[in-house]
Amino acid sequence: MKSSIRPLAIIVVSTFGFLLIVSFYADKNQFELTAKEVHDRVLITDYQLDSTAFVQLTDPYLIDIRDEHHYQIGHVDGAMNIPLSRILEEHYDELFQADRPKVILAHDPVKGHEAWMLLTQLGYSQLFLLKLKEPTLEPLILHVGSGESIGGH
Amino acid sequence: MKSREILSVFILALGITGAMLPGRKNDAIALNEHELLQEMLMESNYITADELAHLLISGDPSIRLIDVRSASKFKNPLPRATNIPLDSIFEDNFLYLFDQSIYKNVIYGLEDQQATQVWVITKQLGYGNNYLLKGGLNAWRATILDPEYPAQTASKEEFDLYEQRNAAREFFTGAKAIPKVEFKPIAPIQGRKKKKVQGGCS
Amino acid sequence: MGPIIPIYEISQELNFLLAFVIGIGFGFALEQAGFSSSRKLAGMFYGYDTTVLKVFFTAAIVAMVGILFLNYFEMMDMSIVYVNEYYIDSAIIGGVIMGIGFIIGGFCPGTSVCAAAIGKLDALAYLGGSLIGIFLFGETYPLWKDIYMQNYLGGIKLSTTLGLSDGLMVLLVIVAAVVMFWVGEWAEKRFRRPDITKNL
Repeated sequence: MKSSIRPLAIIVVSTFGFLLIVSFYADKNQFELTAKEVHDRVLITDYQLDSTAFVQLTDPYLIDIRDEHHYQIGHVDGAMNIPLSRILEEHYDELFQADRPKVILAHDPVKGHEAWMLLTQLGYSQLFLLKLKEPTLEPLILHVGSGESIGGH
Repeated sequence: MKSREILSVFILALGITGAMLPGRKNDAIALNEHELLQEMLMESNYITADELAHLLISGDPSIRLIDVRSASKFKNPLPRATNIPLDSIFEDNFLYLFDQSIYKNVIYGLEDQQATQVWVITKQLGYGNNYLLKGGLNAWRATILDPEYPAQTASKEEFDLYEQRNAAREFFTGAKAIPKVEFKPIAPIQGRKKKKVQGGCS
Repeated sequence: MGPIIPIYEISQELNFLLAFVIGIGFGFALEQAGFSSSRKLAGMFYGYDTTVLKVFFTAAIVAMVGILFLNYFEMMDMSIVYVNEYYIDSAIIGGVIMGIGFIIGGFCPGTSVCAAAIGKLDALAYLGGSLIGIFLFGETYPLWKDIYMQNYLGGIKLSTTLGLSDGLMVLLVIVAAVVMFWVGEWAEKRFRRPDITKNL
């Protein structure tokens, strides 16, 4: 009886150990906030700037999340270009963690809110959203301090 | 006999340990940030007003419209829309509407903001079959209920689209048909014609 | 720690393959426990052999403890585990029919397949009968539909209905299982039938 139980026990324990190791390397999510917390956060709509609130920000980073193509056609002075598709690349982490207001510029409100929610859920703070009016790019006229040297190039 | 006692005690001890563990709710179907970004970039998750009008007119029974405006602002919704205000999506009697695989939920608000927020939250929770109406109710009104007459120089496609929108408008509002648009291609410049003599004393 | 296999990441084919492997394992375990012998199964009813009770209770508590701990260590998500849906009326009627068939035929549906696989003729007959029954039910389904669908409760769990935590429910079942084991052992001595042997 004992001889038949031992190999069985070894198999069970090794399978369990294997599963432990596999699950340890499984793709984890890095979200700091749960969906519920994000939900509570979006109910406060102070993250959406209008042009008067935008001027009051001190020394903000301007992050244009449109395609490079659109960015090259015309963009806000001092804005850096991080297309939405590349927003999770690791070298931008430092930028998002900086203790300065970060303003997401988007002409498509869907994309703007999505970028804001994604970054907020990852735990970054001081993020704001400013809607650009295309094709005039109205906030272009606003004078903004240069932010070109940053951007993790 | 001895081994039976040991086994009994062991399994009881395991059970007691299990009973003392705090309950935990996992969310295995939730997406991680890369998957969520993929979903955001995928155009098939968005639906335009024209596509929605087409689906509604063809009577697709799997479409369920979800209006996320607050209850006080829930006026003139799309036909047969369900009102689930943004601030109450986590209530038990609403959440199951998002977490299902029968209907295609089309989420819309007055504009993009609230609908996008609801859509991102449901996506992140891992719920499928939720789509976002681009531009919300305003885009619906602008394109379907009050289509803009294309400029004279517009292409044939734009005139066709206008025709379709007009037909959709009739369908949704019961309004009378606007006279059919005649697509007149701009005449190619022809050779100089002989001008009638003007003025003079003729 | 994430779940071991995220459900959306395995294809339907791999899913079937996994089910096939698990099914073979299940059949092997049944056969090893001696469930291909209808004497052993009927012994549960008369009390001279309580292997059935012990095996099934062991399987149940291993699975329960396993799910409880795996869920706690975030290796599986209990909230998306499929819970069989509960129709009160059809559960009671089906239970009675199944119980009568069990004691008349000496097999339950799973073990009949298991015994048929090792070539027992009575199991083959039993399997044929259950297939005919399934066919008849399928053909006359509109007649039964109302009874079948009555008192639907959905995928409910005993623990949520009683308002207990899952862990406490597991403990209660384990206590019940241990008591049943010892009662079973006692019954095997009390209703001993030395004339019925395993070999026939």
